[in-house]
This record gives sequence, C-alpha cells and structure tokens, in this order.
Amino acid sequence: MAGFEGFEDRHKEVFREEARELLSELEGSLLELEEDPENTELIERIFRAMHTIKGSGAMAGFDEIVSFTHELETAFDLVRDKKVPVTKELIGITLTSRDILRDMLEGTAGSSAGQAAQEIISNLKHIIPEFPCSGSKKVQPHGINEKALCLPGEEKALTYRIRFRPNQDIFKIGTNPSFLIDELRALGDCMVIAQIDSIPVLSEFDFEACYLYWDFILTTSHGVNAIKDVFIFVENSSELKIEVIDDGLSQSPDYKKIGEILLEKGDVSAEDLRKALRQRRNIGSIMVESGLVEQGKLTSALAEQQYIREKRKQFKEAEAAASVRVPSRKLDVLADLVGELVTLQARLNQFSLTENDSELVAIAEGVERLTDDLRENIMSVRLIPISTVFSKLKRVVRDLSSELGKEIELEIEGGETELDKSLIEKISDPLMHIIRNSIDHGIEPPAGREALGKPRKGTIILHVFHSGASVLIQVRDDGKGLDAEAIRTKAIDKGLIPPGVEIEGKDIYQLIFASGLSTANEVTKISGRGVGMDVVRKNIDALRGTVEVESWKGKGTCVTIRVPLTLAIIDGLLVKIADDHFVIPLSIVEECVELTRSETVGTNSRHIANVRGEIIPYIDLRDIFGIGGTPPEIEQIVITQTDGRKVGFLVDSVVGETQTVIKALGSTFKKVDWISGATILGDGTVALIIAASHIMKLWEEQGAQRTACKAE
Amino acid sequence: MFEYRFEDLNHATVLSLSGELTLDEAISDLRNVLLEKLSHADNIVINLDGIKAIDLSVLQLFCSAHRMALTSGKSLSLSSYPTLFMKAVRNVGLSSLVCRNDIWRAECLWPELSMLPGEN
Repeated sequence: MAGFEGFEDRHKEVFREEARELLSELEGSLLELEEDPENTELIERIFRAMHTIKGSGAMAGFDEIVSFTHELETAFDLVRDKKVPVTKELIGITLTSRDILRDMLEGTAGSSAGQAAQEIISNLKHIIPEFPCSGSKKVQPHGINEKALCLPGEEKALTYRIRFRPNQDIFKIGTNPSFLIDELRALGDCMVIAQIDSIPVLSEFDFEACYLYWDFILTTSHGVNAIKDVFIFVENSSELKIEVIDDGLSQSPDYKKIGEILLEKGDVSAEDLRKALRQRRNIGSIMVESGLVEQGKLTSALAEQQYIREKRKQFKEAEAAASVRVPSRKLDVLADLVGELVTLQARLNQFSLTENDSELVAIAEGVERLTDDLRENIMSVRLIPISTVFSKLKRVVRDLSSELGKEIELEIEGGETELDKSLIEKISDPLMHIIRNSIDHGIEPPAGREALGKPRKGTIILHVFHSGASVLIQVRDDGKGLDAEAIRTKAIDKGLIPPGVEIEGKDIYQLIFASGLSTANEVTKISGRGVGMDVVRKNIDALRGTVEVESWKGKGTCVTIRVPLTLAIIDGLLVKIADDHFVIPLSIVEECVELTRSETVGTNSRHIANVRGEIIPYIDLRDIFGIGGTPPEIEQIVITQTDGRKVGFLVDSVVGETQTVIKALGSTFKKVDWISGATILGDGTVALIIAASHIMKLWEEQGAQRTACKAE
Repeated sequence: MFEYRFEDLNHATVLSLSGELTLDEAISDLRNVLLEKLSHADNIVINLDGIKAIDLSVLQLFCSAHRMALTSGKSLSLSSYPTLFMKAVRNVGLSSLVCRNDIWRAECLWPELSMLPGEN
C-alpha cells in the first residue's frame, strides 16, 4: 500500500510540475491575447492549456482543479466558436482564475480557493449570457475530443474510418480497386479489411463484377481531401463514407466499445444492439450468432478498436520517448559529477604527460574528448529560454500599470535566448524589481507624458542577447530618467559620498544600488523605500554578474545586467604568482604581453603599459593578494576587457587554458568579493578564480586613498 | 497467358494453375473450369506454385468457388500459399478473420492474417 501511495505522490508531483508550466503558458497567452484579441492561434493555445490541465488533473486526482478548469474551458469553447468576444474583462477574470488554479495546485489558499472559484464562475455567467449552467456538461477528462485541437497550420495526423463499396461494374470501366488501395496506403498507416459477404456462389458469379468492398482505418496528416482524391474517378458510382475517429489528443489508452463502433458505422441497428446487450455476454459473438451482423463487419470493428488502442499506445510511448521530465536537482547532481570528472581528467592529462607513455597520452586524449562532449551536453540540457520568466513580468506590467493608472507596453526582444536554469531562477526577482521601478518611478502618467510631447503609452523594452560567454539583459524605458542631482544630494545626506567629491557620468547612477537610497518623494507599496535596488545588486553579484545604469533626463533609463551563461563550469586562463595559481575567466581575456623589469622603471608605480601604442593600466595581483617574494625578470600582463574598459593583470607566468569547475568558497569567504570561487587543478592544488570587475573597483578605491594620502 | 492441368489422385483432384491469373487473361476460363470440376469432384485442391500473377478478380472467384463447394458438401482448398499469392491477399485485405461463421472459417481459403499495419 505504501508503494502505491508513493506512486500516487509521484504522480501528483509530476502533475504539479506540468501544471506550473501550463499555468505560466496560460498567463503568457492570455496577456498576448489581450493585445491581439482576434488571434485564433492564441485562443486555441489557451484552450489547449486548460484542456491539458483538466485531463491530467483528473488522472492525478485534483478534482477541484478539474471542475474549475472545466468551467473555464466551457467559456473558452464559446470564445473559440466566436460566440463570445475576447474582452479586457474576460482576460482579467481568466487571469484571476489562473491565480486561483495556482493556489489550488500549491494548496496555499485552503478552502477560500473554492469560494474564489465560485465567484469567478458567477462573474463568467454575468459577462457571458450563453454560459451554460453548472453541471449541464459532463466532465469527460478521458474522452476523445470531438474537435481537432491542432493549431492552424499545424499538420496533425488524424485517424479516419473509410468504407468504400465500389459499383459492381468497376472492372468494366477499367478501374482496378487494388490500385486505389495502393494509393490509400501511400497516405499513411493503413489497415485494409475486405468484406466478402456479397460474394455469391460460383454458379451465380459474374466474372466481370466486383463483389468485394472494403473498410479502411487510415492515419494520415494529409487531410480528408487527399483521401477523397484517391476515389475521385469512382466517387459518383460508389459508396464512400469517410469519418474522423481519432484526433490524436485523447489521453486515454481506451477506445469505443464494439457495439458503439458497429452502431456508428451503421452495421447494426440500435434496436438489435439493445437486444444483444440484454444478454450480457460477448456482444460480438451474440450478434454474429444471431445473424444480426456479418462476421466481416465484426472483424472490422474489432480491428478498428485494436488499431486505435495500438496507435494511442504508440503515441504515448513516442511522446514519453521524445521528452522526459526530470527534477532539476538531478541535473545539478549530474553537472556536479561532470565537474568532478573534468577535474579528474585534468589530472589524468597531467599525469600522462609526465609519464611520457604515448599509449597513456592517447587514452587521456580520448577521455578528454569524451569529457568535453559530456560537459557541453550537460550544460545544454540545463539551458532554457529566458522567455520562461517573461509571462510573470508581463503580468506585473499589466497589473501595476492599471493599478497606477499608467499606460505601459512591454516589448520583448530575444526571449529565445537560452540561459542556465538556475541562473534564470535567480535572475527573475532582480528583473522584476527593476521593472517595478521603471513602472513606478520611470514612466510618467499618460497626461504628463502628453504634456511633455511623448506618446501617452510608455514603453519598457526588455532586450536579451548573447555577448561572448555572457548574456546581457537590458531593461530600457522611455520615462523621465534618473535625476542625477537628486541622487547626489541624497547620497551626501546618507553619507554615501563625502560632500564636494565629484562623481561623474555612469558612476552617479551606480549609487542607486546603495542600500537605503531612494529618490522617490513618496513611498508607495510598490517601491520607494530604497530597499530593493541594493538587493538587486547583491543577487546579481552572487551570479558573478554586473549591473550598470545609464540614464538620460526626460528620455529614459537603461539598466543592463550581464550574467555568465552558466554557473558551473567556465573556460579560464591559468596563471601563476610565486607558487599560487589563479584563474582568469577566458571570456574577458584579450591578450597576454610580456613586461620586463626595465619597462617598469620608466612608468614606476603608475602601472601603465604601452601595448602597440595603446596605454593600458594594469593591476599587480601580487600586491592585491599580498604575495611576498621577488617577481621574475619577465612578467606577464593578462589584458582583459570588462565593462568596456581594458585593464591588465600582472602575473608571474601564464600556464595556459583550463576548464574550470567552479566551487563555492563557503561562508567564511562571503565578504571576499574579488574572488568569485575556487577550482581544483589536475594535481589537486586549489586555484582561486578572480572577479576582475571587483578587483578593478578595489584597486581604484585603493588608488583614490593613495592619492588622498599623498595630498595630505 | 494461363494454363491449367488436372491430376486425379486417390482422395483429391489437384488443379495446378500457372501463368497470369488475372481478369484479362484467365477469369472467364477459370470460372468455367472450376464450375465444371465442382460438379464432378468432391475434393479439389488448387496448386498455385506455378503462378506469375494473381489479381483480386481471381481471388474473389476462389472465394465464390469455395462457398459453392461448402454449400454442396464438397471441399476446395489450396495446397500452399506461395509468396506472390500471400502478397496479393494481404494487399486487398483478405483474411480468414472476416469469414462468415466458425465452420467456414475453419476451412477458410484465406490465411488468418492480422490487419494491423506492419504485422504479418
């Protein structure tokens, strides 16, 4: 029994995961439909999401969800049939319904969800006069849907039942039914059953007559016209009946009963069927024995039943094989294991080189190739499109703008850009916060915008794109922009900058990420307390990302978040200072140049290198990490580019490229923000991964202090 | 062209057919031959080993002859199922599964073929 309960729990959990995705899709589609109410494809998508939630929910035992979704589905069925128009009100009610369904799913609302659902249903009845009374339509989650639910333009395979009874003179007009059968078979999976009950005994046999007729079950995506085309030259003189018997959407592996099939085909009358049913035995045999139906017709019905069951089984299996739902923690474990493998493989490589054994080197190279492939594959499995968080953002824009009486449009570019799943989860909240700020403080009310000569409707553009091994997420609005002077005043008030210190350009805007700084005159429930942007910064820092703000007074603000593609493994450049190893992320490395002792004499402590005429400042990592000893005669400057600036890092030597499995440093090193992690090298030693942008900041601060000290 | 040959054995009359058993080439003659033999012989065995083609007009003729034999208490059967014959039977969807009743099905001319695509 415990085993069954475990199975049931797993089943419920699988449904929850599926339903969460469907609810998110539902939300996105509803918001899109609000913009484009005539879009039938969206209506179908919404209907299909509801239908799947209902069907799967019934199987997992979520009765409350099933009956509520059924009511929503009924409403959207009317929309689908164009009996009810798509209005803002309908979208609003459906969006609230979606939230109730989420609460029901997570069990967060308790009994109040049922009450809320009832309110929704009465609201639906109020706005849709055609809405049928509850219970008038039986919930049939397992039944076959009468309407094909495929999207327009999508070629879906349907299964047809065809009866073809040619005119007996078909041979005389030069047509051989065999050829028609061949043509039909060419359209898809086809089952052919010849009916022989019209064949007379030999003495009455006309050798020029065709006595055979056929039942076909055909699964094809070519459509009914392609089937009709096969019979085009004999259609008028023959009996031809084509019916759709399976739309491929049914979740149930079962199919109609034999009696039902025979009745549908007209091979038995309702009265005869009732008679046979009364005997409560195998209905097929009874009807054949009592001469109510031909054996051929029964065989045909049995074959149809078996065919559809088989097809549904195949479809289920194919669907299961095409995608597997795996909990993301399993992927995390897999990624960790691959990380360990990468480390071990690096050790193997190093060992094989020291042993000077060509066979061992060949094996190590083979293992390296496989490990690389494995790593890439695991990483790609973890990548999902960032658009998965967009429906949440669209909803925020919709709800907040209507609450604040603003008109705002959210434009999304690059939603297909893929990012590591764990990154997407962590980026969602900071993004939401930035957008809330744009809505609350950035975009002006419609009248205010008009007075400024701007369009009534404000725009927030969310642009996501790849840049090297990073992903850039930009949130740009056409609102009033940040008030640099107000930020400065507030920062001085809060003691964040000393009075009289000049901070220019982008740097002034970076102050908005300082804790407690808000320039909003009034605190709303949405934002304005100055709590939030500092959390945004912390969250993005934790992802080894950066966040920058640009603003143009009266024109708008642009917040750019840069995050690495993945959190687990990066390509790095391994460098050495004395006996310590460090890793610089390869994505920021531009080139390496030598620096001889004599070259440093001229520039002294100014740490400036002349690279082919270009002056590039460099940071001595030996200083930063407080490593003693004497540097070698020839050092290396690793030139990097971060945030549009070129900066070099001075090291003793460059070891080479390495695949770096990032290990967190633990809470002890939480405040050491110029190291983003550590990695274990092939020989088992630990190398620190440097956080270039933080080191630059630290170095600049130290430089400012040095300058201040000198001045004193 | 089609040819036929009779051979009377102890318990059966074997009708060996060869060539093309089709509507154009054989149907008329074959009907007459079978009709004539069924009026004399009690047990006819048809040998199809020498055939080069067979179409559905001939298949339904065999079915008709078989019915006549059964209704007059005689026997008509096939000695073997050559590949070419099996292909034609499968193609037009004939199978003993559609035979009218249990007695006839037990003696049905056609092999018991499943109709599901990809089987047999």
